[in-house]
Amino acid sequence: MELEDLLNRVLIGAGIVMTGAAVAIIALNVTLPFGPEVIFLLGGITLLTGLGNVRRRLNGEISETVTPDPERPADNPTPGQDVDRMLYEMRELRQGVNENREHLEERLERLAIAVIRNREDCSVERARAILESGEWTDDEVAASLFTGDRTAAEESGIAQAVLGGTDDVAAFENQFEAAVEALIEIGDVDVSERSDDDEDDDDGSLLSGLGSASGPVEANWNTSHSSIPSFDTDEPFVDVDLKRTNRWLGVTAFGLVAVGLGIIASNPGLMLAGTVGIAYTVYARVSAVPATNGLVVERELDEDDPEPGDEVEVTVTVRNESGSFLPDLRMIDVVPDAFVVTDGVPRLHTSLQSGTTARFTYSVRVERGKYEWPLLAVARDFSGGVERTSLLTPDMELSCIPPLRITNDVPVRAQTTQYAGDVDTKQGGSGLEFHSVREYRPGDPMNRINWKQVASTGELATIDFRQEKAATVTILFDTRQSAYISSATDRPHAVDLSVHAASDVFGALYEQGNLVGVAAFDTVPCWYAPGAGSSHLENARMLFAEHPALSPRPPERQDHESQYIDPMTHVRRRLPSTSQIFLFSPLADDYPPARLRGPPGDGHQSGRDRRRDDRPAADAYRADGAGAVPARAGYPRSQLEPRRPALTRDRQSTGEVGINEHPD
Amino acid sequence: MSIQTDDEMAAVEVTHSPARISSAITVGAALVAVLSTGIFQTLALGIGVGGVAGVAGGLFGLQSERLTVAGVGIVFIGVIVSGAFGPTPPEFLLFGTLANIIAFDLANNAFSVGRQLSAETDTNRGEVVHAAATIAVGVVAAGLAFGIYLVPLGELTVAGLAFLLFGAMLLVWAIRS
Repeated sequence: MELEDLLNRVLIGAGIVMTGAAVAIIALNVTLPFGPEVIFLLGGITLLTGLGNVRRRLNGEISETVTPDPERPADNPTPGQDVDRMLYEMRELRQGVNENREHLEERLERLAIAVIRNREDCSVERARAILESGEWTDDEVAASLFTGDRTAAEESGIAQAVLGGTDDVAAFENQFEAAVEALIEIGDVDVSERSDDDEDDDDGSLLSGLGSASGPVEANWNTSHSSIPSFDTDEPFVDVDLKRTNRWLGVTAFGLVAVGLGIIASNPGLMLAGTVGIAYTVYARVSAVPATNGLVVERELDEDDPEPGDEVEVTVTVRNESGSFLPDLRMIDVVPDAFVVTDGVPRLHTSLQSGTTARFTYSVRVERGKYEWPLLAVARDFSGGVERTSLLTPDMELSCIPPLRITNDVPVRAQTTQYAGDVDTKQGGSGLEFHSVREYRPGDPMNRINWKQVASTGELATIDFRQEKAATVTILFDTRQSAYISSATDRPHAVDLSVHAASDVFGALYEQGNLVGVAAFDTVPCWYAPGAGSSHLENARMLFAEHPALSPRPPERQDHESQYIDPMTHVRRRLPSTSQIFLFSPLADDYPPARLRGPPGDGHQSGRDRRRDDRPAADAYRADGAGAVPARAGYPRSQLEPRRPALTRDRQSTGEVGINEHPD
Repeated sequence: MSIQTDDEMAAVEVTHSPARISSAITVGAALVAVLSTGIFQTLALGIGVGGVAGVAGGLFGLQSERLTVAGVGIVFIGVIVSGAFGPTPPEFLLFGTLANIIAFDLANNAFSVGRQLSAETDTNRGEVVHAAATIAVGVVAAGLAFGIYLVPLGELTVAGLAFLLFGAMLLVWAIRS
């Protein structure tokens, strides 16, 4: 700092001396006390400084605010992306070759054992034996991944790791792909959604999936794809940054090079030309901080009470009440990550005189929750030398609450409570459907006496009807980080789909007179005890909309604090013993099945909803371990078509049965 | 309601290409710089045309700021060559340099607007105001310089001018922040 100060003083001093000398030479016609060499030297210095300036410019030191692309969908991972990533790391970056390899082998082995168990209906040990003997497939390359050769290969693994041969990785990848293909074949995994692209140029798709251009649809996280640390703010005005852009860096070179050469070549034309460069250097240094704090932002929605998935038109009005001119104003409405802009542009570049107004309109697809979002204003002065970045949050809240629609009947199992309801039980009593005839016991109602029997035999008998009772159902969400996956970048992720479907199921179950509760396994406790009544329904709606555990935002991107406990713990502690469970999960890993089977004898029955759309075996790699589990675990599962209102349930080709027909 | 993935409900395109108005003015200004000085010197014309090709390619083809700035630099080399080796009158050199610097600034602005906003954004007003400010400043400065150049102030020697400009430059640097 002191050195710079000193340098500045020297510069000012030298500048004054030089200018004085120039005035003396020109006006007073003083003869120079030195020869033309000094002038020449002066020209040389000027030229060299100019070239240095060019170099600095080429090294690029321009700094400006990096803005997000809030139009784009959130960048949720797709299933199998981590497998792609691991293979990419091994092949291209040559990182963690052994760790990744071990992990992939382990994962594929789990899958293979599950598939073989499914086919052979045998124990884990037997399946492992089959796998290691290589009998499970005709493909030798595929078999070699799991056979004894592997251990031999592992023994020499250290040598290979040291050599780090590319062939080794390529060979492993070959084996891996062959094994996946073989498993798909014998496991009868439906990979129909697998696109042709993947088959045509595998490498290309793997690479592009990792680069900035991830496939045809580009994704965005507002904070990680911009230089603004956070868009969460309660303040109406936040000053994020004020900086020099350095965008004029290099303009001095035009002046210096022209003047330097002009001096050396004694060419007044070039010296004259150089003055423009100097003038712009001065222009770049003259700066004023744009008064963005005087901006008044208003945001209007064309719909007050939108439902998730609705398109809402947003109009943003910005008025300059700062009293000064804002010559360069770049505005971006930072739409929440869960939203997608479907029409129009949430951005504007304009200049605003004091008292004037600018307006822009766009349409957005909304998602459940309560939202307030800021307008990002990047303002520059005339020359653009200074850039001020601010967040302006208008006083507007969008709250989007899912309706609890009754679109279809949802069958439940025959485990009920003592309350009357819609579920046919095996118990006889009063009801509608014939159940059995039994001996008369004193106190039986007259209208249930079987008079025909009395007439023929003279003995009293009582008809029992099937009792109809209410079930207790807990809708259980899998909302851990791993559940935030989507089948493609522009598709809603599994948690969104789960909540959409669950809000339908909730309405239907409730309408059938069941007691319905909500829970989620997540690090944020989410528990809403089964109940009934209109306030219960309303609370459930609000919970679907606003509970942080069901947020459309993945946990790692939320700002609430959470300590890690086994997510199932708090659910298990509170779950009533008679409750049935509807699980909504993409089954992205082994956790949900393992947890649900849980300690034996806790008496819960589970109806398992599996959303096909969330687990597309879009790629061979993505046919992962968990897929084989539900079939074995003996739980009914169903798939809800994501497109409503046709909430249909179709049986799977793998021979599973619908919920209500499944033997208990 | 809910999860439709029709085109209608899909996310809009976001293209971060250089802003159009600024790009067009940049290419125009670079062309003016080349023509105003190149007509006096064939070599300068050749260099300048190459530079303009770089500018246009950088803005509309490859969308590379580096290439565009390099193109502007080459145009400037053409101006210098024309001034040093040709019979180019000082006012043409001044005009050429002015156009050159305008191209330099607007090229940078085109990329900056493209990065921070998008090709789909309405950027007309912002771009036009910025371009107008830059051009106005340059025209005033060049007019002033040319005015001083025309007024006979005693014996205007090269040495005197050199000292004057050098002194001015040092002073400009001193007021950096």
